Amino acid sequence: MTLIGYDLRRTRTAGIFASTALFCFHFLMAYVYRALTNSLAGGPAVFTRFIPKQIQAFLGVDRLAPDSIEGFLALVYQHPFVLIVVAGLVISCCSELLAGRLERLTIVHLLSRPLCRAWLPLSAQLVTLFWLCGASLAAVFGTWAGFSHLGLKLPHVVQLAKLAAMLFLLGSALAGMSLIFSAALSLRADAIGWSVTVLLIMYIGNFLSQLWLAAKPWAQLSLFNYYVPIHIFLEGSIPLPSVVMFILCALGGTLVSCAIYLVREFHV
Amino acid sequence: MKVLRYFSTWKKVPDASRPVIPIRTECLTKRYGARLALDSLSLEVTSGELFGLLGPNGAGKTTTLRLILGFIRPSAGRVTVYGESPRSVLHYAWRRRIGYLPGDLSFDSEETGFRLLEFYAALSGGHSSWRNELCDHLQLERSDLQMRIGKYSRGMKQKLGIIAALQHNPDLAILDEPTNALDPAAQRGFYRIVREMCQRGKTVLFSTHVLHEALELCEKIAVLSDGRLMDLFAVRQFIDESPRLLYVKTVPTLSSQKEIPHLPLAHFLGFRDDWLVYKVDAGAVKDVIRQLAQLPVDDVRIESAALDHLLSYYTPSHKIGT
Repeated sequence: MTLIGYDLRRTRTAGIFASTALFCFHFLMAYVYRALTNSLAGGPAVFTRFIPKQIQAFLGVDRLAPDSIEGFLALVYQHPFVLIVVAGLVISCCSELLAGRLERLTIVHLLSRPLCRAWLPLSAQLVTLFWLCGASLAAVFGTWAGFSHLGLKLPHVVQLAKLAAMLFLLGSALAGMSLIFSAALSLRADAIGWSVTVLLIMYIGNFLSQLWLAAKPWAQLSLFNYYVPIHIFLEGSIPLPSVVMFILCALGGTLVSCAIYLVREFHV
Repeated sequence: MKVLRYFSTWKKVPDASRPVIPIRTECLTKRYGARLALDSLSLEVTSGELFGLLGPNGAGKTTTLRLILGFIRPSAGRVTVYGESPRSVLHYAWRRRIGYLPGDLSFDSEETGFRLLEFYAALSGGHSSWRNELCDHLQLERSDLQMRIGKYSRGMKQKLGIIAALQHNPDLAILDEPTNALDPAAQRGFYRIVREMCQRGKTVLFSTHVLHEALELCEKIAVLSDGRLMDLFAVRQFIDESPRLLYVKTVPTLSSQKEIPHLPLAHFLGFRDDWLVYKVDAGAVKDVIRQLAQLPVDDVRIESAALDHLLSYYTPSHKIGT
């Protein structure tokens, strides 16, 4: 069994749990959409009245009404539940495979084998991306299954695939960030704590910067600022700056964590 | 500078005509802030040697092993394992030649012993029939390997750790307190394993604070205390040259110092329970026994003072600065 195979085994619970959760959530969202459109005059658009204008602009619901399936899906893919599950999956995998191993002292069995130390964070990133890919596909499959089950018309399958790709890219960027903390710290709780803190700052910071014009430039520091699924329906593709930012974060995080593992000391 | 140091071994071509020494340390020093964990340790472990690192808790044994394995950076000095720097980024194939048993042993408890052994064997380049022999020596049943490690006792985990470290038949075994938690039968089995390895030309370095174990097993011993090398000796020669402790029981049991029999070649040390204890030089033992034959002696016991000598390193009077 290779290191990647072993790491996949170690994280399979988190991967399967996240995939199942996203599938079920998106499947149920089809029922929510039907209920909203059937029982409320004006459908989901009613709710947009309660959203501040700037946030409406950020979410794109000022241009694409949530009455439409596209508008509704764009909102659903930005739902806090989706973001929490994706962030939870990547933080759980990264912290388990690096800081968790160090905390339990089982890393010593790997460090004393003929294995380049950089391979450990690299394997953690690859495994995280594998489960992330599974979870993103499960989300889109849940959408497809739910809406098909109810006989509702769905957007084109390519657009659904792009939704999955964007979710995957956001997750991989978050994984890059979490990987750095997991590689630098020796306790899993510390790695999780720091990752969650930075993530919350980015999320809340992005939200506030949409409301407060003076803080608008700071929004660019948040990864969530680049995650706008409505663009897929409005412009037909994932915006290039978002793709570049997500890939840079994922690659940068992986490279930094590999460098940390090559130079850091292991008191095991 | 650190980056340059990592890449410094890049162009190094090993000289085939010279035998590569498994472990060599030169003025190896490690500081943790103001605390000196290891102070200028210089030693060599040669091929086929059974080398013991001895010392009380906190003496620097584990720090030495961590430095040898490249887990931590030396503050000064250098260490090489089979001619390679253990911290080298590009050269890590030498780790195929080593097997390491950590002192604080831990495994993923959800896995079975067998699956874990297979995983570690795959990383180290496979295993041989040697694994079965190790299981036999340590009395670990094949059915035990199919159990989840969470259900293992401490002794079973230690056996698994020894097998995981040695199953790929390494040229150099580095073992940190290997007989921890092993029952006497498994300890004997472990002694057989390391002796067998040395007979096959393998090198074994192990740290322990069990004195009799070190004297029974090792060919050479380095004694560490407070991070310093206090003593380095060949065990056979050390035992042969060590004075003997002579325990004598007289008839009747003596009640006062005045009645103590005088042995000209022995130095009286004192009473230990009902026994009189003398210290005798290794070369004078025969003459002292001859003298004893003329005294009202009920029982006699002779022991090497080597153990007591080593024990002295564990007492506070040997600590630096006291």
